[in-house]
Amino acid sequence: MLLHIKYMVSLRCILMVQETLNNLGIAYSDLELGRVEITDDLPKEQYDQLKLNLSKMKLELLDDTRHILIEKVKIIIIEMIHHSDKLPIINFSAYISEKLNIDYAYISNTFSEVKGITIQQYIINHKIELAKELLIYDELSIKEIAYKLNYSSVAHLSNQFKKVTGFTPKEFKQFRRNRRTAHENL
Amino acid sequence: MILYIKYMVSLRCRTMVKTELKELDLQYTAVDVGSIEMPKVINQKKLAELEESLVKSGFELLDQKNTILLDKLIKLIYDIVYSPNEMPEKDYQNYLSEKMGMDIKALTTLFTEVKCMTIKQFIHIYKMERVKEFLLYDEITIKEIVVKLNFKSVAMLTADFKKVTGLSLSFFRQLKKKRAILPAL
Repeated sequence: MLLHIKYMVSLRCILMVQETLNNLGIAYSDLELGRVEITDDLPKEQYDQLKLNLSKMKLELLDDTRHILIEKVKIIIIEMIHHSDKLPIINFSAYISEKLNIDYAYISNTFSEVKGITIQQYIINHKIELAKELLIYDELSIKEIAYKLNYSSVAHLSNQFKKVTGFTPKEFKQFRRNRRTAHENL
Repeated sequence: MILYIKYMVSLRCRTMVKTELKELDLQYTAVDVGSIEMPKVINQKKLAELEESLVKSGFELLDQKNTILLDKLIKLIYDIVYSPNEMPEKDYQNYLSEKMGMDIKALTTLFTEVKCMTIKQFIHIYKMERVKEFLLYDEITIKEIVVKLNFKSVAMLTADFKKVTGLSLSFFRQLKKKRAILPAL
């Protein structure tokens, strides 16, 4: 059972939620900003108790509609980036709001309030994750990766890559070499 | 119990690791880039099984010595960012080397192979988390944050924050207000 928590936007919030869950004896399997996966379905009583304890810490358990909205946005973004051959050319905001048929301002505001980052930044982070993966596979050149991920130039990709990881793509490629050697040693 | 894993670069890697954990029937509480958190300590046999399965997928489990080193380093970083005092020095490398009792440069490769980012970037991201918390929980001015976390200027802090979260500082200020009026049940 998946729960979404609004205003859970920082590391301290994660620790607080962790403690709350432990105190109530609720088993969970996955905890990240704005979201926790509970192992078993919660009985109504326990759910209400959790909701109450969270609200004391100024955190809000999301109701169904907004909770589903966030999940949908994430799925659209992940599919768009990780499971398609080429990213859509039109801008993301238009793409997402068209897919969901909801006003983008509403989607974007809800997302930022739950995740603590903007949709735009979330997309950049995912694009860079994919870039990392592609660099490690070493099948595409950096130029091809830039094209695949819709960057206007290699410089643009490198720039964003460095902002997120602290490396240039070229430096990152070095890991693949380390990794290969590690495997040959087996 | 926390385990560190090398070369876990992306979302797909995290999904792969989660699948492997489920197949081995191992419970976890979080899977992050380069690490797995488990609610209890697992025995040697299970650990060996996990290691074998990770290697097959192209990952590598850190041995005990390196796990201890990395754990210590990450906790140190956490401590300097979350220290109630000002961050120790602008030059984090010297400070960390001194505290670790070894040259931090020797740990750079290990760190980056696990966390997939530079130590500097990692500290930077932690600092941004800290900024969020200051804005949400504490009565503190932006100027004080700048001093505490060793930013060059207010402008630098604002720009860096925007780069990492995409949001402005005032968005978080407003969030604090919204949270404050949350009705108690």
